[in-house]
Amino acid sequence: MTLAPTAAGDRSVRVIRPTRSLVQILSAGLTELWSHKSLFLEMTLLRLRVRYKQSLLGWTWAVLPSLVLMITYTLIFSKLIGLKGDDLPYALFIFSGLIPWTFFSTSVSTATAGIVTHRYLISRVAFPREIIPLSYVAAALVDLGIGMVMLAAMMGYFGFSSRLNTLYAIPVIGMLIIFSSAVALCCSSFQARFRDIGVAMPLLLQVLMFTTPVVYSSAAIPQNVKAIYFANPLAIVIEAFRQAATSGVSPDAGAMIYCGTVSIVCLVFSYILFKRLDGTLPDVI
Amino acid sequence: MPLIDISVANVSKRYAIANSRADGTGSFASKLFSRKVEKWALKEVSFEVFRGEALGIVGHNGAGKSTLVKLLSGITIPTKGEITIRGTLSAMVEVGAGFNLELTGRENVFLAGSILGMGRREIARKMEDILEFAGIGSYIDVPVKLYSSGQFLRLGFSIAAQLDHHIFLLDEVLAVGDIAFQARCFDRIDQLRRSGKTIVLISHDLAAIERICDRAILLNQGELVITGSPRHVIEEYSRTAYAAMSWSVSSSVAKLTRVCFSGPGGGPVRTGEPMSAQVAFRLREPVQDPVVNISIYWPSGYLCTQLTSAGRCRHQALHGLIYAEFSCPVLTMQRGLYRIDISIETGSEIIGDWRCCSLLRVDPGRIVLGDFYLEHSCNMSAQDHVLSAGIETDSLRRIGDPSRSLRKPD
Repeated sequence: MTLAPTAAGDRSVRVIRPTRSLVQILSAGLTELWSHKSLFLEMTLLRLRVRYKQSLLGWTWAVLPSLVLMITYTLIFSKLIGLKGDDLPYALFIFSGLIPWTFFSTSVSTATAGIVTHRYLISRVAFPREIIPLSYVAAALVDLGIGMVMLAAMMGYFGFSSRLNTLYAIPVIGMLIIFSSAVALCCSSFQARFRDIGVAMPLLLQVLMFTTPVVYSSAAIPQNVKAIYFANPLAIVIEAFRQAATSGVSPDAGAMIYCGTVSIVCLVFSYILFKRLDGTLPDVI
Repeated sequence: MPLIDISVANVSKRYAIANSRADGTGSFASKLFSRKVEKWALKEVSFEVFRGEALGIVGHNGAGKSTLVKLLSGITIPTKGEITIRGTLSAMVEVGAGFNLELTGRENVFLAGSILGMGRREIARKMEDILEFAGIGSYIDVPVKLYSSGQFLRLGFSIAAQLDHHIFLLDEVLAVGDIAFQARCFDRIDQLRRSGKTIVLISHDLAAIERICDRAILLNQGELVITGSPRHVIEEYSRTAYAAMSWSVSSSVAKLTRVCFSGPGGGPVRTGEPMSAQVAFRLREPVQDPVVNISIYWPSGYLCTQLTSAGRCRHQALHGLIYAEFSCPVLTMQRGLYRIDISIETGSEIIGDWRCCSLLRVDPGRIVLGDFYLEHSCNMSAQDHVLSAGIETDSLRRIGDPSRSLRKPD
């Protein structure tokens, strides 16, 4: 193999300093991230490739958990307790809530655990480390896609014809992705320093699931706490996704603007937080 | 004025050695607010690396070499100071770190390559070279969890070795793999040097540092001790290493006062020239037939040779200040810095044993290759070459397989 002779000029100059301004963090971080876009793709593919390696059922696992959960929840909440899912068959109601919820919980919990799994890599090689949590989020998108296909099949089974209005679900999913990435970045950068986040994760997720309209209809929420209930962008997203995907109801514009703003602010904040703690990450992880 | 590729200015790095009770005990408040134990891994280190130069970094374990590598490659940031790097830098640390055990070697090359910032197409283009360099053959399509540790490391290193950057940071790469792989690494480093790349080499292999580098720096406990020619720096390093190893066992009878080596006329010791060694010691009581031994060790720790007074002195009882003078007509040892042990015994009893008590520095005199200089002479004259050639062919035929001719035309 031959090497190009070293050019005299046109060399990039990199300065490594202890403290950096916010602008520098953002500009340098994003350029670096962009130049490593192929790593983002590779890492995402890696997650998918190795996810069901050495398992008997393989990719069946991508479908199985949500099916089992749907059946269990339908039996308990609908048959036993007698919850009603608005105007939808309860199975369809719960499944359309489980899809966005599972995406959120999978991406946040795997990203948080994943940063510690890559401890060795982080302390040996320099690369934009936010790619690790983000690749887990991207990998969870595949499950989301599979879930949507299943949802479409279920809607056909229950005799719902798909309408063009269903496309309202797309911007809702966009917000879900942004919000999940923000939480994943935030949790993983704390997890690197304080393992408490990882320990508390199952508990936090369970609490969050029951404070969002996944298994029950938000109509059951008393009027006076609704404002607090829907301050959570996740509650808005799940509700809006269900209505758009199953009934083609257009999401409430005000709620969407609020939700989008909060998600983007969270993402920017989390990214800056991650990059600020990133400089000394290998020293503490 | 040569161009500067890397400039390290007053760089310090502090590590907080977590809370003293990081094991999970202790109260919440004590964990958040208690003072952490701090350790300065690097203290005010400044140096420069010029374009096209090979700089070696040596130092004991814990001297701060690894921290320096992490700072230069941008894995972590300094606590104080500033590092400026002109051009793209690739750290040839062992990238097997990025491997996923479930993936095959080929899939891992794509993964690890992209961690190093290569695009998919670029990796595909270099795949041939990477595979050839790693020398793992058909194993490339087998999951890396089935690799031997050597194969794993070789593949990891090969990816970084094929990068086309301006500056190369080599951290203990020569410790990877078998002899054949090491030879390929040396070839690759020579290739990089010829094409004018800047190299920073961190290694415990001092011979490699001396062979490859133009300059070297010595780190000790986070501080830069000296900068200079590799030879000079390595000697300084060996000196501090030996000083730390020095210890002695001696009875109250004997006390070593002086050890000295000199060449002809008291000058420096050189290969192929005479050498004399003087050992001075004091005996507090009369000792019958004392025997003085000088053990000379290679830098690697193996015994090179020994000088002994046994059988070379008259039998006598000695007392007081004693001088023992050894003389060697021709020093056959190669250039280098040797470690010296001295022992004094009488009969079977050791009355003094001083380890690493001195150093012997041998300068290159007659330039010879190999392990040692063999005193020899040579005469050349013309003879009846037909006859001698005939005899030679004949004798070789008898030794070898008679059915095979010596030279096969092909």
